[in-house]
Amino acid sequence: MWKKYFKVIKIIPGEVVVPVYGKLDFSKDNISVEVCRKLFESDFPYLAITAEGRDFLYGTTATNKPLIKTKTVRSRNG
Amino acid sequence: MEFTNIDKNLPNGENMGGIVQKIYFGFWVDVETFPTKPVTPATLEDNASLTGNIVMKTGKRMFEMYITDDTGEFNVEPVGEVDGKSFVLHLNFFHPGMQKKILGFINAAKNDNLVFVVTDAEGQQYLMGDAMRPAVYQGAPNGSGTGKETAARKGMSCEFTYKTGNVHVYTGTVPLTEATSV
Repeated sequence: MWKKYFKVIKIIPGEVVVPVYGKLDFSKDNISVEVCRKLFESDFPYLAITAEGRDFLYGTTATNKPLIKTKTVRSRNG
Repeated sequence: MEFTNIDKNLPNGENMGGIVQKIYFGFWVDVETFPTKPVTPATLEDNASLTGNIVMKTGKRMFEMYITDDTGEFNVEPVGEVDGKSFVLHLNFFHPGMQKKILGFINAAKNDNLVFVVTDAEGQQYLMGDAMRPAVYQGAPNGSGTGKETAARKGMSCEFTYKTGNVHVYTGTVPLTEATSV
């Protein structure tokens, strides 16, 4: 389900140890959308939101906007 | 940075000792970027916090190792003379058995540069290694080998150290899958 709304970036989909949540396996479908949304909003480096995810979670359209928006520490620090 | 009161602060009354039974490790040379240390911290907490994530080079990843319960310890040792104080962080653990994997790890690690992420019993993480300095192997303080008696615990103990000016908490992620370029 979450894979409709988020895409794994910068790693091969697989296990990542995440503080608070423990080990999450991004090659599987059993991660909740809410967890992915919280990670995305907290600058988790390995998730990008899809246009469908942006529509579903934030109620915005993807028109005239990049399909993938990344939020990473690197990009934040320039 | 301003000083503030430092009260007893044990959320939910928890203050369990030791580290958890998984440690995470990788080659220092495989790290693309390290989290950054505080530059102009506003608070005491900020002064002990790393910012960002450890990011591996393309095709590289971190790995996990099982350690025997109650054998792992993360220790902070202040060192240096007046006006020259710093810290040596120590990681000690015991891995049971003498299988080829653990022997091969020690063979590879003993003269190389590594990085570790250590998690305490409350889930607080510590990163051993930064852009300037790695963690390095020191030896087997609790012995390694078969033991003498049949009731002895066969296995490998290890100690790694990392020298740092300050002690920080790591709040980032540990990638256990290979990094890609996109």
